[in-house]
Amino acid sequence: MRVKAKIEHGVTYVRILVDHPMETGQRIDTETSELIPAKYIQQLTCEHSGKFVLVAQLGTGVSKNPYLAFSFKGGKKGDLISIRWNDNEGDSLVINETIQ
Amino acid sequence: MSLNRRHFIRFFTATTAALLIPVHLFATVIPWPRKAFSATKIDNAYQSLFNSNSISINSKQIRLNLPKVSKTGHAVAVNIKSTLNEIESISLFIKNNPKPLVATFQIPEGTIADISTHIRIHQTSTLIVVAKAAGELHSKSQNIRILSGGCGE
Repeated sequence: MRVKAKIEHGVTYVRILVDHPMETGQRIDTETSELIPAKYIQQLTCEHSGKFVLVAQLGTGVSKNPYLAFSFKGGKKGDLISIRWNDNEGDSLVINETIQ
Repeated sequence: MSLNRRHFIRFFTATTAALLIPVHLFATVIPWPRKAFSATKIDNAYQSLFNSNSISINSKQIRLNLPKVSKTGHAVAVNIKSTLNEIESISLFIKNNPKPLVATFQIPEGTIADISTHIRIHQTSTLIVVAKAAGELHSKSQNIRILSGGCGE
């Protein structure tokens, strides 16, 4: 997962790129002719100073290696933001990033 | 059981640690709406997500930025902006996708209603964005033509 957070005129712009297959569960493996089980991110959250600034709930309609960009007010240069995703199989990842 | 000093300290630290888990963080998050995401018809997805079908269409306070035609539907870039007051959430639907609900974003106070993402579009369809603001539903839609399928690889 790669995250960039940059502040400009009091607004923090956040860009997130996640490495995730986002399998729909409808695709067939060409070698084994079997369905590839669904594996996709269901929830992606961003926290800043103990408060959620975004809660994204996703389905299989989001592209492979999801990209998400949003912005919020109230951040400061040097503040930490924490981004977390959870998928349908219980895997998750959290990373912290400093606002530049 | 005798509660000596060591036991007391152990008990005390364990309970304080449990209390320190930020419960308030989880309290604000609505659980992942399984039924809405698995709906195969857009009306069922609306009903399940919003518990209502009364949506005012063609809102001037929602702006969509996406191409009119895309060669493939693997990853279509979409930007959604809104100037609605007291916005609570933005949800994205593709009418002709096998599962029309693509994503729903909860917008807390302080977050700007300006979101970009990349989505899969199975075939030529209508994209519909529904914004919930001050308890009311507003929507905006646009057609997008896909020259080849997008839900596979």
